[in-house]
Amino acid sequence: MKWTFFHKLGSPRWFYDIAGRHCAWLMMLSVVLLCIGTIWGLVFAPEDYQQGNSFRIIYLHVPTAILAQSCYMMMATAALTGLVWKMKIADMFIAAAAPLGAAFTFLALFTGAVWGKPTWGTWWVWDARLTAMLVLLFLYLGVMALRSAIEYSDMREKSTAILVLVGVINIPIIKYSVEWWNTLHQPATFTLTEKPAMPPEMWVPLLVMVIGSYLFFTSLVFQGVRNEILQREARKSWVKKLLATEGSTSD
Amino acid sequence: LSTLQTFFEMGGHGLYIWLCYGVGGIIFLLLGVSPMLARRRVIKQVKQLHRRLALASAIPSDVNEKE
Repeated sequence: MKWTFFHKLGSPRWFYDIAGRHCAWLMMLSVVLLCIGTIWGLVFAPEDYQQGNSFRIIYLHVPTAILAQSCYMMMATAALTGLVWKMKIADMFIAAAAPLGAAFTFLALFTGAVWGKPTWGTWWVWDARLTAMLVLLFLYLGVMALRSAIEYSDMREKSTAILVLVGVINIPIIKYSVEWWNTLHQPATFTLTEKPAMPPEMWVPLLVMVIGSYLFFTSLVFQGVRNEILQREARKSWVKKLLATEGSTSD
Repeated sequence: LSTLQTFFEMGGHGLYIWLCYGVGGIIFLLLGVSPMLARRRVIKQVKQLHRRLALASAIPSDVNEKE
């Protein structure tokens, strides 16, 4: 086992450099992919024979919904890692990811509601999938509220991690809600094991959007963690040297 | 021009689609800009702290003790 990698990952200084090297191109690539995917989905993808054009909301709805859930799983993994190995980076990751997760969950709910109006005839129903997503939004907001209510301390790290871990129960509920209960919401659009039930002209732009959103998220998390590192390591000599030498430039 | 109009109408679903993409675009834009603004703010704060620390260490210790 290469434990050196694991130890490096826990080192804020190492992560600061690596993330700084990659956040810019990740952001650029994600913007390109998101633009391509949006234009492809809005202009070139064929109309759905049942839903007409309103299905085009899928290109925003599905990536944000996937990301909303996988962001939470990443936070939970970080929370566990932080509790077990006392990695400072884990808590910084949660700090950076929670607002992003909240934004993506909100967007998934919003686009879902707007899609629901022409498709189901209603903005909102208290259906299992929708309710569980709303709970996810509240979990993200709860994590953010908890963090802002407590000063930086070991206790805040621990209580955040525990809250995140308790909330994990919601993720399988979201995922399997469309199978366990009769819901208005349709089953998953993408699965890893099966071919999508749409023609490639429809799902390829969707895949582009999903990948673009992941890269966007990664770049934002990298930048967010870098900001957290600067704040928390402010008294360390490497931060002093860094800010002194790099002067007023933004990097 | 009429093809452009039919494109924006989206077969009667235009309002829903453009509402989604409008709000989505705004949120993505805000998300994209906020870490850069946060970075500026953080650097300013940390530099302030460094100046304070440098100032504190520059003051002779006996002056500190008298205060």
